[in-house]
Order: sequence, then structure tokens, then C-alpha cells
Amino acid sequence: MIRLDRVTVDLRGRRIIDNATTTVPGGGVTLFTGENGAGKTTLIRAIAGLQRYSGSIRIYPRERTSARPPLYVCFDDAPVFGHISGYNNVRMLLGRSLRTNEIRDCAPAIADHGLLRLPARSLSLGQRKRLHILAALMSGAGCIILDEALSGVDAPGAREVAAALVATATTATVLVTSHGTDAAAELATHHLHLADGLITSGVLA
Amino acid sequence: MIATAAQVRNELVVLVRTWALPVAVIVALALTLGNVLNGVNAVTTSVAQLTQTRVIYAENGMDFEAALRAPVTVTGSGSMSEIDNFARYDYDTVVAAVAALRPEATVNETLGYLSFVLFPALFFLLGLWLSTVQRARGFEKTALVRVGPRRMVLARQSAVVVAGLAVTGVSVTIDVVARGVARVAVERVASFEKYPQLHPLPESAVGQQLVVCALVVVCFGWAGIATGALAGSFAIPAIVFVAYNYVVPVLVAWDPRNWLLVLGHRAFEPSPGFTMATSVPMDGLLALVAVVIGAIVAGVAAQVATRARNPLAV
Repeated sequence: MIRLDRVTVDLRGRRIIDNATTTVPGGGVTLFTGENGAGKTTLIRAIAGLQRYSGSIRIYPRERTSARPPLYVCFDDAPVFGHISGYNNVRMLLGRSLRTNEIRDCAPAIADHGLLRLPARSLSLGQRKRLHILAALMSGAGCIILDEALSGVDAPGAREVAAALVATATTATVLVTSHGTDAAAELATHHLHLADGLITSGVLA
Repeated sequence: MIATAAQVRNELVVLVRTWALPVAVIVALALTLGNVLNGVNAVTTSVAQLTQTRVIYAENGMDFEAALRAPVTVTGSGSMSEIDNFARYDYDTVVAAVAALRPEATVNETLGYLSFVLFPALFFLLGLWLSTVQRARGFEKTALVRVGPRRMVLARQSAVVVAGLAVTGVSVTIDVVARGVARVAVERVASFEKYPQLHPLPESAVGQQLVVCALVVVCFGWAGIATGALAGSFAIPAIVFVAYNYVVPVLVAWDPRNWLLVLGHRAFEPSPGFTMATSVPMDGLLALVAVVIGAIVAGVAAQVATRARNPLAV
């Protein structure tokens, strides 16, 4: 669960988030929508501690271990080290030494051996996003945030990712930013919408 | 503690996978082997000079053996120096060159050379690289979310020290082997038994030499990390530092390079193959305190700069 209490974020003199109080519940996938430039990524950076804010953001569970970090964020730019393989990029994203078969067998429908063995420079944006989603699923984090994670992923892949996220959400808090048009939107159980710095929340059917 | 140790491993993995550490080891090895070759050249050149001096003494009816037993006095320095006993001077030069080729001379010869020629630039660049490469590729934020800025910077500082141990360890090991091989090769030209030591070799302060080497690694490595955290880019700080290190001479006592040179001149014996840059006179204890404070300031600056960019990451 992620709890925001009177959170305000100002960026270059502009108020992006205005006194937001809301909760991202555990045990489901929360869809986070908003227009381009509304401030979705800025709020995610604030939750991740990369952006200055006022108010309070609490992430539960708070215990930090290498096997179960409190938070894992899939950033929208899907950064990779181009000259190393997908396997090694996943290891570097997670900061752990993992056996090749552990990575290969985690979610082959999202990232299979054929994709993981390639140097990351040869991967498309959608394939790089798949690497990041795989790392998120393997992170074991209590809260997983995916920023535009499905944009660029093809339709069958997006359905696989959405199904994996639903399975992960039974033990973790999952927040997915989207424009409400992809597979994650269909499976989301909760909804947050950001407009003009204000967050509104609701439960999806 | 375990999370920090895991992050140290990750930072070392970054150094290896981005080829920075392998390149650093290769450069250090190239200079190490070059230094050994320089030592071989010093022996062959000095033996040739001594042979020529012996011939000149014979041609002029002078007693070479008696001259060897007499002391030598050198006044002045460089091309303006005056030598009153060429036989003994040339003999001592041969003996010093032979002594420098002993595997036992590795720490004094090679670490003295590497610590003051290569390591300042090498470890500054390694620290700078570590501090900027992940940020340039957008990877740093994932590490920041995972471990927070304090642990990340601490891990980078530890990783530079571990990289220093690796580069030094590999260089010293290869140097010992290379000196052994070089000695065998040189003995074909000049039998070492012919050039016994006429006076005892000075005691080599290996402990002090290793401490000075470690201080060079820590000071410049941590300064590189702090510079990367403050500047955020690699190329311009790298060019500026390399120009400062290799082009600008040490002119004032408060130049950080001078603090280490002062300590270096105290710890390392003069080498026939390498002359350490001249230091501006300064009290040794003051230099040591300045180095330690400088390293602490660099360490704290990296922490503050990284935390300022990522204010609430925990």
C-alpha cells in the first residue's frame, strides 16, 4: 500500500500536484491516468524519492531487504546498457546475481531466452520495456510502479504482462500509469486520475 | 550492511561490464611492464657506461679499482652537477639499477612509479566514470530507488578502493614475475655477482609506501566520485583533470598533489628508472592531515551532492 498525505509537488515554479491525499491499495492493480504533462511521472518520482515534495508519502510494508525491497519502479524511458545482454541488464536492474535459468524461467511469455540473450542495443523499445517488466516481476518488491510500461509492447505481450501483474498484485501493491486504453486498464481494480494537480480515485468494476 | 556490500558488488560489476576496470588494469600493466623494461635499459646502459669509464681510466693510467674503493661526491644537480669520482659514481649507478631489478624492489619501484604517474588520473577517472555512467544511461534512478543515495555513494567509494586493490595487486604480481624474468635476461649481459653492493641498501619502508599508495587511490578516486556527482557528466571534468594533472606543475604547497608528493618523497627511495616530481616544501604531518581531510571532504561532497539531487530517497 502507498499512502499519500497532503502531498504537494512544485516543479520549476509550477504546481504539479496540489495537496493530494490518497491511497494506492494493496491486493490489486491500480490504474493511474492523466493527460500528457499532467504530472504522473513527477508523482512517481516523488514516491520513489527522486523528486522534492511536501507532505508525506508512506510505502508499506516498510521493511527493506535485498530479496524484498519496499519499492520497484519501471521508468518510462526503459534504460538499458546497450552492449550487454538482456540477462545482464536484468541482473543490473535488480542489483543481484541471478542464475540464467532463474531469469529465463520467470516469465518466458514476457521475455524469452531469444530476447534475453541479445545485446540490449538490438532491442526495440517494446522489448526493452519487457526486460524492465520482467525485472519488476522478479524484484519481489512490496510495491511495484510501472510508468507507461505497456506503451510499445505489442497486444499479445501486453495481455501477458497484464495477467502477470494481476498475479503479482495478490502479494504486492501494483500501480500502472496508462492512458486507459491498454490491457492493464482492462484488468485494473482501482483507478486514480490526475488532472490540474488534483487526484481523484475510484474503484473499477 | 549486507545491502551496502551487495551494492559494492553491483558497482564493481558496472566497472567491469562497462570495461572501465579491465582497461584500467591493462593500462596499469602496460606501465608496469614499461617500468620493468626501463629498469632493464637502466642496467644495460649503466653497465656500458661503466665499461667505457674503465677503458678511459686504463687509457689514462688511472687505478680503477682504487677509485672504486674511494667515496664519490656529487655537487650541484642535473647537467650542472660535478662528480669527483666517475668510477665509483658509475659503479653505484650500476648497483642501484641492478638492485632496482630485484623482485623485492617491486613496491618501491613500481608502486612509487604508478602512484605518482598513473594512479591520480586513473582513479579520478574511475571514480568519475562510476559516478556518471549509470546516470548517463538512465540506470542510476533504479539503484537510487533500490538502495538510496547514501548507500549508493558509500558503495561507489568502497568499489573504488576495491578496484584500487585489484589494480595494485595485479600490477605488483605481474611486476614481481617480470622482474624475475628481466633479471635472468639481464644476467646474460651483466653478471650480477660482478657488481656487489659496496654499502648497505637503505631500509625500504614498504608499510609507508603502501599507505601512500592507498591514500592516492582514496583521495583521487573519491574526488572523481564527488566531481561526477556535482558535475553530472564525464567528458569535461575528465579533460580538465587530466590537463591539470599532467600539464600544470605543482607550484604551491596547498595543491593536493603536493601533499601526496611530500608523503611520497618521504616513503619512497629514489629510483634509477623514475624521478618523482619535486614537491613544494611542507611539513610531513601537515601534509598527511591535509590528505586525510581532503579525502573526507571529497567523500562528504559526493554524499551531499547526490542527496541534493535526490532529496527524499531513503
